[in-house]
Amino acid sequence: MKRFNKIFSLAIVTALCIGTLAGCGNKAANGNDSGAKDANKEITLRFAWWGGDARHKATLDAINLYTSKHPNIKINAEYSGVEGYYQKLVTQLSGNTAPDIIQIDTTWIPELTAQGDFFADLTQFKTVDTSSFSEDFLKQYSYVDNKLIGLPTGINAQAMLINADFFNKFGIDTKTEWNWDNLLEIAKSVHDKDNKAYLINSDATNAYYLLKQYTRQITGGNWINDDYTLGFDKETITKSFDYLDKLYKAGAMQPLSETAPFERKPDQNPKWLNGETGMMLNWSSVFQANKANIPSLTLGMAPVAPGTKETGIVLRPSQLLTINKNSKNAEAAADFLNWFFNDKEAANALVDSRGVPATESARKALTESNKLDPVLDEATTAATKIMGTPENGISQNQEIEKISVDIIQQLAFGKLTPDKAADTLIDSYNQKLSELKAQK
Amino acid sequence: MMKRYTKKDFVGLAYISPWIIGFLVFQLYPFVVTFFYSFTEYSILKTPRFNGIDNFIYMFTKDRLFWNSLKVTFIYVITSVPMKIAFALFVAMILNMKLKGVNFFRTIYYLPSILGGSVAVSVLWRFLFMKDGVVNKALGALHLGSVDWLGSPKISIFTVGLLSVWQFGSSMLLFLASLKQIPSELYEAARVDGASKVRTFFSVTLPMISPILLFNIMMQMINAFQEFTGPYVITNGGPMNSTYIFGMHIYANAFQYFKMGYASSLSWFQFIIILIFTVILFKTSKYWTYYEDGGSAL
Repeated sequence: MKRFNKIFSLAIVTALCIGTLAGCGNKAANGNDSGAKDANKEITLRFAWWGGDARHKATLDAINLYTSKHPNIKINAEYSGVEGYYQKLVTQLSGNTAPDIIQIDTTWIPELTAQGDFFADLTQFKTVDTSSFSEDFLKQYSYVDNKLIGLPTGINAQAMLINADFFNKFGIDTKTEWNWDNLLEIAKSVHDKDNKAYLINSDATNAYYLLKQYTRQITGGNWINDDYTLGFDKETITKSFDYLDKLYKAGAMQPLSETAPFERKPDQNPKWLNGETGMMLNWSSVFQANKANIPSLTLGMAPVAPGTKETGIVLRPSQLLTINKNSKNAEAAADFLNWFFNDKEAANALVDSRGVPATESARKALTESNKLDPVLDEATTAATKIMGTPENGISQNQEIEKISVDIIQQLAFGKLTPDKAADTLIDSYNQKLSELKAQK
Repeated sequence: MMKRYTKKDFVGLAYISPWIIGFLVFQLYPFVVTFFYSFTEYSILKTPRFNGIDNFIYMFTKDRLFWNSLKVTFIYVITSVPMKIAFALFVAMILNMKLKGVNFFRTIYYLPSILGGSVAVSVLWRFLFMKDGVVNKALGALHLGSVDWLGSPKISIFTVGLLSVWQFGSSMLLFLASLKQIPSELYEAARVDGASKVRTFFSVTLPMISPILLFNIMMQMINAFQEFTGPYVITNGGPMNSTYIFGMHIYANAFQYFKMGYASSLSWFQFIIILIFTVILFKTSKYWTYYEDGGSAL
């Protein structure tokens, strides 16, 4: 028995040590929570955002700049990657422990505002000057029931991230104006030349966005209508699936069996990082993060069918900065936001870490100091010219997305023909939509 | 008469209070509230609305991913648990031999269990087993051709299961401890009787460690039923939902669709499944476990 005890206690001690280590890790991460609150009139604000290293650094610099000018204000930065951010936020909102200043994604707005009133109406703060924002932009994305719930951090355009080295290697012009025909044609020629190379870097989720865009350019309307009916008919969606099928069969996109481990994270696919795939449909806001890995990265426009009345190309705020409705220091938070968006020094600290800034004043400051990335600036301007109508809430539903991604995988694995895929999609959508409608 | 508590009793309680508080807050409380939530429609931000057994009806009749995720979970449990147990026993038997520096190896072989549950290792797994990954490169060097470890819907769940096999450490330690317990007289007697190595293993070793074997199978089975990190990080449930394990289905409903009520129902269903299989295992154990003192597991 002695021997047994010895080894058993070893196991337990090891387990305890791991527990202690884990405990230390958490403590270190939350360490900045404990601030001295009893000093004279000191205000502590909590500011949460997600992003990559470049954004973290820029935002922390900006915060330091602000607090050095306002010694009585302390700002606790709660930053992380995007993974898990929304889940944490919803839990915090539910438990009434959410930060004072919260970065949110515009796609969450329909869901969040349907469930409660979480964000302060920014028009009630006299300190917040919104004159430098585009009024249309605010109307489209920032107002909910006539309340200004947040301010756009940047202008984010749907765009193609283009690896210029790859394009040069295959003799493709980086300025090519893409439509669906030349996309397929050029992609095919690339794969024919080198069977390890694929023009488009895409996972099944990205393929879904492509499918949506292709379809919306034919129908000219929403993917799913506001009354929970389909925005397309069988014939149209079959045509869209047929096109997607052709892309896979022509080797325009890397087979899904190879991209499977990188589903929902196509920017981590080694083929993309090594320059064996040439372009990716994504957002201009991730341009800098991707450029850090692919130095020759540039931007182009997403494919547009000639003569379409709805390009489906989305131009939206990179994120919104909101103030928690239950914040005890909302006035101080409002003052910080005003500085964040309108101050010249703030603009120069933040640069384009959240895409091209949404305020005229910040853009001017960056142009003066020559800090705005010309590629990003140009692409955003170009997207402004061909932008489509913003997507409605139900078209962005997560369960709808999951159904679509499942069907696209079956198509790409050859388990469904485009015709069958269309049938399955319509059936599954109708069932899910009737469920969602009943729950409203 | 009320029993009087001495100061000593309170000191004892104080010592175990971290565990008690942790248990009450993180185990008992969720356990009770999810039971109530499982009969409600509850999106975390609104107050729950009672809807009877609607969630369970929906689960069995309409949820298009429910049966698939259940199937995937069973495949995972049935394949990964025996692989892990066999591997743990195998390593324990090697480490039980009188080798030079055996203590060093005992420590080393426990390391994967410390690292294994982390996200970083799951990411590593992805790069090991992807199409152009290390494993396929090694196979290529041996002219064995490459395998679609994570890309094939038929294989992916086994590859994900390998990650759990790799964390064999705690089972291995328990096996090792119980192997040390076997009296050497039994082996000597077996040798005198002329039993082969294989015969000795099945007639002496296995019966003697059978209580620990039961314990290991039970713990690993329960863990496997609750698996989440591996499939979530390595394959995100794909391709074609072939690794979309039950835990991921609960997660998606709770934290992607914010159907907390329905996710609670799924969790309770998972609990009942685990309970049933644990009871079955217990009931059958009396036919294959051996206790020197004649006792039984319960």
